[in-house]
Amino acid sequence: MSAIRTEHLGVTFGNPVLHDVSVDIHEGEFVALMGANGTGKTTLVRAALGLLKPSTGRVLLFDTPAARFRQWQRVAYVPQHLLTASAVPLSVEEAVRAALTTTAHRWRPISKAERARVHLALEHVGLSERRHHRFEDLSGGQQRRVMIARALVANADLLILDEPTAGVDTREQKRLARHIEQLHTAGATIVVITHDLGPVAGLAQRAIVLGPPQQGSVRYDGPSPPPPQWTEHVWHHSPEDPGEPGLLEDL
Amino acid sequence: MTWLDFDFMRRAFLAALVVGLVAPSIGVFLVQRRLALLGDGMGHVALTGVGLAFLTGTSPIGTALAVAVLGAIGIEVLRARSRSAGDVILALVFYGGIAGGVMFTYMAGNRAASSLNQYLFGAITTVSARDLLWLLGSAGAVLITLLVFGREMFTVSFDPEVARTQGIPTAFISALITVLAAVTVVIGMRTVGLLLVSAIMIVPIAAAQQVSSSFRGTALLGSAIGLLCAVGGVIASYYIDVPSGATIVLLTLAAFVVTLGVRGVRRPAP
Repeated sequence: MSAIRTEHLGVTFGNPVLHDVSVDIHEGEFVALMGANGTGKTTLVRAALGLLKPSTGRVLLFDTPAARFRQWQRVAYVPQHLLTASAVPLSVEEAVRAALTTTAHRWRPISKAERARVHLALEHVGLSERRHHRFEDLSGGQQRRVMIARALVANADLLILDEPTAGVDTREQKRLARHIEQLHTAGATIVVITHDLGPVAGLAQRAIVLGPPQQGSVRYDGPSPPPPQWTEHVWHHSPEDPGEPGLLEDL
Repeated sequence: MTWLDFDFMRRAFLAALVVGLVAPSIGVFLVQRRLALLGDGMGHVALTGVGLAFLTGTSPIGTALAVAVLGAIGIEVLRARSRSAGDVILALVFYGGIAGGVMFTYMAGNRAASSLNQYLFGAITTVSARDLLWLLGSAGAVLITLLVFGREMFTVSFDPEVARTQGIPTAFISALITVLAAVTVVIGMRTVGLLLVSAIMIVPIAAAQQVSSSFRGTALLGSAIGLLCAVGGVIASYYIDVPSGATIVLLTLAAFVVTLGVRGVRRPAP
C-alpha cells in the first residue's frame, strides 16, 4: 500500500517548480528526499499534503486522492520553521498539545489520556522538565525535539520532516536521528527532506533526489545512499548559480 | 450615595464586566495572528451600522452587530480572493466604514449627529436594559463559540499550514476569529466606544504576554487585566466625572507599564 503516490505531478508558480514527478512511497519506508535549494523538495511535500494545487497530475495519500483525503490523524507534518516567530508566548506543552487538535470532539477539553500522552512524549524526548517553559526560549535542537514529540503524540502513520537536523549541533543531530529511528521501528512511514543524509544516512532505505538536468524533476530514485554522481549538484549547483553539474570537479 | 445606587451604573458595571472578560479572550487570537488593528477596522464598520440605525430607527447595537459581522465576512473574502495585501484590505474597511457611518448619520439629521459621540467614545449613562440584553446575548454567543472552537482557533493561529494537515478547516476558523472580533467590538461599543474598543482587546494581552510563558496563561491573565480595568474604569469615571472609554484604556496602558516593569525585574536585559 502507498503512503504517498504522485502521478506526473507538476506545480507551477509562474515558472514550473515541479515537472512530471511520479514517485510511490510505500507504507513503512524510510525515504530521504534530497536536492539543492530550489529543486522543489518542499513544494513536492506541500503538494502531496494538499497544501498546493497541482497544475498537472495528481497526488494520492494512502491511496486516496489528496483532495478527498480525510484521515489527517494518520499524517504528521513538521515544517522547517515551526512556531518560531510566535507573537503570544507558547509553552512547550502547548506546542505538543496542538498536534492533538482535530475537528472531532469539539465540545470537550483535552482528556486525561491525551494529557498523559503529551507528558509521555515530552519525557521521551527528554523535555518533560521544560514543559512549562516558553517554546522560544529553547535551543534550536530542543525545538526540533519538541517537533518530534508532536509527531509522537499524534501517533501518525506518515511522518514528514522538513530539514529536521538543519542548524543543530552534531550531538543533537544524533539524538534526533535516534528518535526518528524509533518512530520508524514502530511502523511509521518516514519522509525526511534533507540537503545531505548526515545523521539519517544509516536509517534511510531509499533516496529520491530532485534536481538537474531539469529542475523540479526526479534525478535519482533508488537505494540510499545515492551514488555520488547523483548528488553532486546538491553541493555544486543552485538556482542562484546555475552552472553545469560537476563543474567544480572539472575546474 | 454610592455608584451602585443608580440603575444606569449597575447596567454599566455589568456591561464593563462583560467587555473586560470577552474582549481579551478574542484579542489573544488577533495578537497571535498579527491582526492587532483588526478591531479598529471592525469598529469603523460598526460605525456604519450605528449610522444606519439612526437613519432607519432600528436598534444601534443590533444593526451595528449585523453590519460588523457582514464586514468581517467581507474582509475574509477579500483577503482570500483579492490581490491586495491584508493591511490594504484593512485600510479599505477603515475608510469605507467611517465614511458610511458619517454619511448615514448626516442623512439621519442633527439629533443623530449629537448622539454619535456616545458610540465613538462610550457613554456609561446611556446603556439601557435592552442594550444590556443584547450585550449579554452576544457575549454568551462568543464564549460558547470559544468553548467549541477554541482549540482549533489556537492551532490555526499558530500555524495555519500545519493546522490544514491536521484536517482543520482553516478558512472557516480564520473567518470565525474575524467574526468574533466584530461581535466583540459591538459588545464594547457602549462602554469603551468604537474608536477605543480595540484597545481593550489588545492592550491587556500585550500586558499579560510580558509575564506569561504560555498562551493559556496570557489569555487568562489578559482577561483578568481587561476585567479589572473595565470595571475599575467605569467606577472611576463615575467618581471623577471623566469619559469611561478613555479611563478604561488608560488603565490597561498602566497595566502594560506595570507588567513591563515586572518583566524587567524578572529578566534583566543582557
